[in-house]
Amino acid sequence: MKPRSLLLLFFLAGCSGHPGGLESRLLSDYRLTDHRKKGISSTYIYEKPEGKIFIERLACADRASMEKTVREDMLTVKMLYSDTLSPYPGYISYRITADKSVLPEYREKGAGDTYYRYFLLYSNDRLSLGITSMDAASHRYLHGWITRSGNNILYRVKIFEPLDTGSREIEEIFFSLVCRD
Amino acid sequence: MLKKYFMFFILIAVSFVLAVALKPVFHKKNSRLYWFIPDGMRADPGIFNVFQWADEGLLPNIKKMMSRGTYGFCKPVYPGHTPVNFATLFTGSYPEVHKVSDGPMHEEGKPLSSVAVGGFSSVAKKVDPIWLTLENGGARVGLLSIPGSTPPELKNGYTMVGRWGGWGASFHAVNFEEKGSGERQFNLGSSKRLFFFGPPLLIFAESSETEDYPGELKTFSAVRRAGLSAWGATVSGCIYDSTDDGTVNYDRMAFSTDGKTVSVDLKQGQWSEWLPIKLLWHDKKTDTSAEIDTVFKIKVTKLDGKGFFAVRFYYNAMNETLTDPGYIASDMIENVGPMVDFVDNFPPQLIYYPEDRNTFLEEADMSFDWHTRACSYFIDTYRPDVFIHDIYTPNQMLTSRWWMGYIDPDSPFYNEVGDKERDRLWAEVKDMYRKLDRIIGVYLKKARKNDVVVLSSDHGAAPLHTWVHVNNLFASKGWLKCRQDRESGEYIIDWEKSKAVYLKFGHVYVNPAGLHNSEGRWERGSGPEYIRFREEVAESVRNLRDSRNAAPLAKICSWEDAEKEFRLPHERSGDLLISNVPGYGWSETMTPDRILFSRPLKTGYKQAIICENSPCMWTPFIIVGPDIKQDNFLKDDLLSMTDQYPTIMKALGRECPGFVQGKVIRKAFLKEDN
Repeated sequence: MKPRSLLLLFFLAGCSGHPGGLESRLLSDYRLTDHRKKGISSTYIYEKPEGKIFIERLACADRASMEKTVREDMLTVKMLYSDTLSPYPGYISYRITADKSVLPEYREKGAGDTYYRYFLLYSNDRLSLGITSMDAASHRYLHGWITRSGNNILYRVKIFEPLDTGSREIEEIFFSLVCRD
Repeated sequence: MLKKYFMFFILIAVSFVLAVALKPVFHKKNSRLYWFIPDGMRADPGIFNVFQWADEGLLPNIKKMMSRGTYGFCKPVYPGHTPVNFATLFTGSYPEVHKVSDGPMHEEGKPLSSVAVGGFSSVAKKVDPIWLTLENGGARVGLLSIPGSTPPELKNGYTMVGRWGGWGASFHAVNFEEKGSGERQFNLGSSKRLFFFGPPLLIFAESSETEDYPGELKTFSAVRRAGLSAWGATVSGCIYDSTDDGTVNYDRMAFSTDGKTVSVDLKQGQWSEWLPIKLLWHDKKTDTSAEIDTVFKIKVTKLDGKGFFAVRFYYNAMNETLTDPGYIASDMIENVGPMVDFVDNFPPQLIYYPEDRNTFLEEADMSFDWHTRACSYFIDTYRPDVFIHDIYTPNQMLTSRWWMGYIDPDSPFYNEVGDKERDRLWAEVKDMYRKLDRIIGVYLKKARKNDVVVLSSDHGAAPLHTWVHVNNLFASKGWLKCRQDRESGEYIIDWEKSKAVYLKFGHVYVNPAGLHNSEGRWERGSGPEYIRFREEVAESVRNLRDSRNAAPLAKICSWEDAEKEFRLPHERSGDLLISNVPGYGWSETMTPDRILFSRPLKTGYKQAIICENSPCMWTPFIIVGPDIKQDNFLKDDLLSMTDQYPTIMKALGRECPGFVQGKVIRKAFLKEDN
């Protein structure tokens, strides 16, 4: 590792801390590589050699706008895999159809006053949504939202792990994130 | 105690210095990049000589770029279609490497009845686009209306409305017109829908006399009311007669979003202001939806005395689901205004009535105004190191019905208008170029001494005079088995029994054993019978002749030669690849009469043309930067689309990734050997 990178890590570790009000025993496996704040959003990026976690903390105006954000986010994911129309299509073939193997799998779970909603997916090597076949898959990908009753803080979480990571393993990382807000 | 405070101060100071010093450095010279890539901006040494127009004073900002930089004409890769050439510009490689071979792409093992990979999606590219490479190098990147940029890939930048990546809630403009006899609806078939089979772009609405209308309307004939419903919202339209002249001559249309009060009252030719509306973003597959609060504009395109109407609803093209991060949308809308991204739709809707032409021009103006304000505001507010920007309106104009066929002498329709009318059409086209020039002016104004400013485009546009109905040919030979649904007019293909089909834009799929296997998937054929039949199909396309005994085919090859002949990836190519002579366009559309050729309503086209020897498909390339030669016209070189990327990277002082196939345009640099 270059000296400059080491200094950067030192600086980030010293200044950024944990991601807002989220804590996780498993985050110690990762190093915090970036923290940035834009408007109501604070984003924390954690990395380890074969994985990456993006945690975005959104301080929403109220409960309704928080739920609206979650609903729109979820629809964005669903629509990407929903036999979308092909631009400049032919007269005969016009819908983009994704393989069943890469379709998003929605799950949710409550734990105390914390609510976990998420899709299990696959991403390409550029950590993007929307691949239509396993040939393009490079990572196991969990795209989720964590909310807690009683406040308007929304955590948008994206977890990227090696392709052979099982659902339970990636879910374990997600569920290890506990709200302290 | 003082010592403790002193140590604390030192710690803070050291942290601050480290934070500043260790911020990733984008470039040793700190050059920013402003790259403007209007879609379909034709530039050639003949009739679209933009450099000559600039010399003549028509395009002052392009002239400034020419004086301060290096410029020339550029040839797109094959096919001359948006997603392919944007991918080439952004990766410096041919489709054989970046793998975007077309808009709709098919792959072995998937059904041909649907598209396996959409070329406009960011995930279609198999190598990194320039925005990721630069972001990984520390640049803060902004992307506006860039095809292939969504779903978003930037992790620390700004992605705004990537065209047609299937990401976010896009609400395309919708036209409504009086249902009348329904004959027009039948004739239009599926072309009245977005991308042919999507949400309708043209909705036929039935009006009827009513007593129930807002009280403030003073009418002298019976009011006719029509419900205008699109995207889950209904607007009531009341056609009324404001003239007390004893005759029924409707002249106004009032619109109400709540069914009770008048939101806006318009006569033919008028636009409303932006009006609030709540639209429904709905996923049919999972039956889930979200309401999106947005705004829209109404244009009364046509309203005759008898009450026949044609109106257009243009919906704000930006909302929080279409930008990343989402808050950019509200900031841009608040400070720039609701987004008019581009004019018209695909398939085009503003081509049916003479009045559509004016609507087209007005909407085009609104899109130029928005983009001009947007790039200025974004750069001032977000100060990106890299900003890449596209506007789709030029393509829409040059491939529409109204212009290309009557201004390019290569079109057989050229003499269908007189010189005076042609002068007017040219004035409108050049006015569009002036508006592009105005956007370039923003970049030149914002650019500092060391910044790099680039003007490119993805393709030009050729006159279109004939559709070639390849699938009618195959159906008449018994190779394509299909039936027409009586109600919808759509053709239903029997894929297992079909042996040949043409799919956009330049691909023919052939298999004598059937195009789909028993599992409903396409498998590439092989063996002597496959080779023999493929040659028979190829021969049938070679032998096509129109009424003038001219052949539409320019070049044909089999998939094994896809890389060699077209630099396309064989795995995303049909069994036969076919390109057409300029003037023709391959069409998937089938008709009951099995005609092989027809006259299109639109008069411009670009997709399946080999660009090298077709100047109508060429584009401009101008680069301005600190190490770039000034007033340097590369008039003897036809530049390659792949060479722009490495040239820009060199101007920024950056290394190219290994996959880049293009070469630096060394003549552009002050020190050519570097």
